[in-house]
Amino acid sequence: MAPETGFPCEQFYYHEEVDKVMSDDIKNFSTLSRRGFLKTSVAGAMAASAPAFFVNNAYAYTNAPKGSTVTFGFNVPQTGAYADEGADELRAYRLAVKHINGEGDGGMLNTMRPAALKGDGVNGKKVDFVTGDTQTKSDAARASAKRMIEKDGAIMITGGSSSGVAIAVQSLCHEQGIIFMAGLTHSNDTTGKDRRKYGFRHFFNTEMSGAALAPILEKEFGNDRVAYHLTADYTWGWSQEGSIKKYTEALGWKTGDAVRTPLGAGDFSQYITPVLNSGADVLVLNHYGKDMVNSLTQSVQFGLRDKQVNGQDFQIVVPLFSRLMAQGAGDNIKGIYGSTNWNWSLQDEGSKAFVKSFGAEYGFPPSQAAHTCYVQALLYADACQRAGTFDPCGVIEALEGHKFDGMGNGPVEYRQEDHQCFKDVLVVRGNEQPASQFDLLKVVEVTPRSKVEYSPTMDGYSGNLGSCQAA
Amino acid sequence: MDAILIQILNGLDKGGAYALIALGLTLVFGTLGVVNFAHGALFMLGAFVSVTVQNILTISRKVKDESITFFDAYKETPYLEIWWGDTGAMIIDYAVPISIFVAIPVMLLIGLAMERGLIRFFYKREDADQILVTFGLAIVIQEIVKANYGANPIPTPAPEVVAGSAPVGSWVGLGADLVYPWWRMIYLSFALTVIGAVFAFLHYTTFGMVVRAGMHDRETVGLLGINIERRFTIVFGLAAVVAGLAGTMYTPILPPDYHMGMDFLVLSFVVVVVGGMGSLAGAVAAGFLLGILQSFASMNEVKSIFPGIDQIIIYLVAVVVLLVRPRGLMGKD
Repeated sequence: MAPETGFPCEQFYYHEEVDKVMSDDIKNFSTLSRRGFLKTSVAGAMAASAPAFFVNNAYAYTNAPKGSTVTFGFNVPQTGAYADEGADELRAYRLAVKHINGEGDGGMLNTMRPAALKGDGVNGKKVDFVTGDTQTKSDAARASAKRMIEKDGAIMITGGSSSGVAIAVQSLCHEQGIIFMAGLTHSNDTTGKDRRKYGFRHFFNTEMSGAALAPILEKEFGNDRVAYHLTADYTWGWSQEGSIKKYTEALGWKTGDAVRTPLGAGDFSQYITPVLNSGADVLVLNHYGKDMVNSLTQSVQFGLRDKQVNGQDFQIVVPLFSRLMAQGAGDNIKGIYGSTNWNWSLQDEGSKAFVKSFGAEYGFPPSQAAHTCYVQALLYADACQRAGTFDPCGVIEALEGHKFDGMGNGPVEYRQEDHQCFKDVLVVRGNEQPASQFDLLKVVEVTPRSKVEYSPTMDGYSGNLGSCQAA
Repeated sequence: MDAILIQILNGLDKGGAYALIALGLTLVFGTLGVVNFAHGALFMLGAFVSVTVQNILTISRKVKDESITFFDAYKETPYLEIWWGDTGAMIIDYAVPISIFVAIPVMLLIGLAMERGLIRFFYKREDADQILVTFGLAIVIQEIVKANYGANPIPTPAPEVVAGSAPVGSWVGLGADLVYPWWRMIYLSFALTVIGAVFAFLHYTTFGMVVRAGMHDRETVGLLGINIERRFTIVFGLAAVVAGLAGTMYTPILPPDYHMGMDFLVLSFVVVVVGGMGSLAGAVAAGFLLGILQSFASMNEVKSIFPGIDQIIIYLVAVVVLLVRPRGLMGKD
């Protein structure tokens, strides 16, 4: 095992070497030459500055693992509207821990490239974990993350199903000097204006959804459209509304009204009825989870999909799809376009390896949330192994700019400037002829990474990562 | 004009659900003196009666998808369709209306069990104890449902024949573009029918007369040799049935999930407070009033003048009513 930077044993070696240099020079002092004087002076200066040198570089990072195990903190919604998604995330994390520790069939450890992990733990330590319940509430999520860091000694926090929660927990982790590997969070802000040095996101974002969806929307619905947005009134909703507007307006679409709806509104009838006579011919539902299920179900009940407006069939678009959530919408999801980070039906080696492991373990396919969480856990562990340390500064360095493949999304890069993963994006449609109960989404396009990339300093997206010694 | 008509319909529809839940709440409070925080859970249980009936009717023959090797995926065909063809499919299609006939006895039994098994032991306890025990019960019921059905909403569609929208605009001479979902109109009619039936039961039957007398003066009715306790137990069961039916019929509008009861409970308490604690007519009137106000507050024209008003209007009205008329719109001193 490589020595840890700043560990007491390393300090000891260093002192020995300095002492040796000093004693040799002192022995030769009687026959002092100019060269000897200089060597002695340099050695003396080094010795004198040694304590400060060590204080600067040998800070004891938060929760440095001491025994034979290292603890990961899985912060997922275990109660509330996203509890099923949280349960799937937790399943994925358990599987990741098994694979990292060398149990099971190894899953994506067999396909990820490059891979420093060997299936014997991380840096010689077995991985253990603790869990927290975000309740999909920022304050509860911060409290559970804090508990895992301060009481359970978690070296890293990961998980979640909401951008509001992700941004709140990411900020806390940055303050605490703990790496946060975000779960399902789709708002641009997570790696945009709210980006943090200690936060990393594998999941895609609304900018990428907009870029990937626009060409398909143009192909299917044309350029002469008027869109009406119903938007969940929080960071993710605003972000998605902005991105979809940006890309559809670039197609020539006009944006009619954009109405903000309260999170968890339940009955959306009062927001849907104004759409009927608004002159719009496309309804964009910037909703996720239960809100998406309810607004989509009710939109269909109000006959929107049967309407003809401006001489065209009325269309509904759900920019962020989740198979797990799509189940709740039943037949209403059929034929609706959206985007997704990953789908179990992908046929690349990484996806097949993960679906096989997950399916064998739990008896059903993983969700996109499970996939991103599993990948995040493996990426973190691999970065620690490559860095030879759990010191977050070393791990951050190993993750920044890291390029990898074989994990279900083609070649991927963790961009150094904003800690956002760049990879292919899937455009999907609600499957009209499902072959099974899990076959709800049909992949209609794999949009290559090059088409969804953007500048980290683009207007409205730039932020300040901060430094890695915030703790 | 179109928008106003539609928002009135939306408000009446929403108000129907509020009124049904609030009616049961205030009935229990008026008779037993208990503020039942588990009442929303009864609404949710009613919705899950619908889910359960649908699940039973769609028990299926599973044909394994052989192309999937990592886990078992099936193409499912309900046995009812296999056995009875189109008739079987039609029975499945009518799962929600069929559920009404199942929900009545099931919810009555649940209500009686809840009152006899737990709540009656808290009649003479502090208000805080009653609130804690009923709130705790609501959480227990929620978690049991979540453990069995998961946390995601479950689709329970209306019968195909009423799944679309009715051309209400044509009916009132406002144009064919003005439509409103059939099921929502059915729900409104259903809510009005149930409310009417409850009022008729309380006003035109001997049982109802005794219950109303007991609500006024429990002690005197008891002194007359009438077992008012037993009648109040039945009233609790009746309130459970009303809440359950409200939930059962609401499932095509709102795919049910384990938390839906809690979402409605808070609003229903506001409805009861605005209507007047213990006032049945007040609960119904306030339910419809607040439903309509909430719908109008959500109009873009209104929100452009008062941003965010749609999210606070109900509570704003409650604050004003409590300040101006603390006993509620139709409550008694």
